[in-house]
Amino acid sequence: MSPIEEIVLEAAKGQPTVEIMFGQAHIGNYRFFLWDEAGQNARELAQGTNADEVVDTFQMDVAAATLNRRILSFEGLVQAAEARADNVYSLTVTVRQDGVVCQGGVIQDTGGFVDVKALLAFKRFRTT
Amino acid sequence: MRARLCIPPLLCLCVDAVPALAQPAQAASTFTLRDGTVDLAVPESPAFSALGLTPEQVSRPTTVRELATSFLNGIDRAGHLQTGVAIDAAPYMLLAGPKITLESYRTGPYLTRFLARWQVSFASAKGGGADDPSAKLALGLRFTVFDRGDPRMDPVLVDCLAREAGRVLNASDPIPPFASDEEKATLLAQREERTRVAAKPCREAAAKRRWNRSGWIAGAAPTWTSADGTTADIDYSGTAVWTSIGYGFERVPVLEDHAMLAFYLKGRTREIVPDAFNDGAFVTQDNVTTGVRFVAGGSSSQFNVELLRLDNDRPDGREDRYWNLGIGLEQRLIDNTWLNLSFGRQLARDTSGQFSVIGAFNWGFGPRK
Repeated sequence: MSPIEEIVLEAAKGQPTVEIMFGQAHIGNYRFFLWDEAGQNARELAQGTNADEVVDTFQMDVAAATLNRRILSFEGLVQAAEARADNVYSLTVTVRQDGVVCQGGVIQDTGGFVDVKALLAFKRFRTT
Repeated sequence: MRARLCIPPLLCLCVDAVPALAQPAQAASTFTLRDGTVDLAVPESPAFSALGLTPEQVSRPTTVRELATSFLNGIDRAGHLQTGVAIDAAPYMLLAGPKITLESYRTGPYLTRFLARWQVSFASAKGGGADDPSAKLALGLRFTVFDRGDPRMDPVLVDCLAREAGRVLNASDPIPPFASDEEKATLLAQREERTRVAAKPCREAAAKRRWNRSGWIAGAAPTWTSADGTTADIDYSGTAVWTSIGYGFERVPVLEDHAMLAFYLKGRTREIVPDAFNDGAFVTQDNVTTGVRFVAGGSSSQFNVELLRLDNDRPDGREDRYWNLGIGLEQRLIDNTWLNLSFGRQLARDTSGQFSVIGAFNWGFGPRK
């Protein structure tokens, strides 16, 4: 089991915002969950797609001070409009507080695929 | 014999086929009907085509670092060109791809789409015999000037794919953080397969909409030859150029769903080819081929008529020009397997200066790549 990396939050700052960007002009769907410290009791924070006109940024409805040790999960599906053996996907998820990127607050993933690629990432919050 | 399969709207390729029932040539003629086909489509990798290569393994770097490494592997420490190097890349997507979102591609300036579709290929090949140390190089460029069949610009397809993916995600339980890596991989693979199945009707419907959309593609591939196989002895050895323009009769009732008109131009300078007038000899010549092709049908059945003009500029000034008229039928049998039937007639001057007519019938089947 891969270790879960941390996002460092400052308790005195505002609620974190999360921005999702699928690169290479591919179609992306996503959803985020917030888990407790033990990885139980998931609650959906947001879901969406980059194929609509809704901005792919959301603000977490939880104060930074209460997020310590809790786990953020990202689940995504990237699709190429045209299936090709040499398609490349890239994903960037950025967590900010008060407009500033948090330490460890960037999730990046890239690789090859043909038509569809399922993505998954976890981060654990640490509040200082 | 080979039979040509054509991928709408503009891409054609050749696949092996059973021997054709060619009519014998006129007695005095040394011409042969080039299998009734002249592949004029802009190749996916112009550098490979310019050298006549169909490499089994093509390096398609996904990062700039990989691209640099691939090029470096093309030359050894002694400066000798490594043969069999085949690299195919989209430079702009390599550099800026992570920041090119679907929205910026679709609604941004035209330049974004133009650069995103720009492809570069690089290839090297060894000389003819065991005692021939020469090496050939080609650098290919491929541009899509415009493409009304660009799937990323198809809002119906994009919405359909996003909708189906959303359904798959919503129907799935969230994956727990402490699931084993094997369990996570299994769950992700299941999502991919469900999405693939759900998206299939979206893709099939889009293929029907797009098969004959208008587009314009161009490619060029300068070549160099090194007699002794070293980088210090490279000489320019001609350029190949291609362009294809397809017109899909957009907004013309009936025709916009069932017809396409395509124009082709292909040229090559300093090409070394078998001499059509002297068996066993080779000649270095420039040539230009122009063609027009009308396709009628749909995404799974197509009838086509093609007229080509081939002009070979020989160094001895001898006339070597001819017309080629062909008709064909293509039928999708199952998934990506197509049956191709074609008949071509060639009108050309023979060695005695008289016009001759040669015909050939070809058939074959295979995938469209």
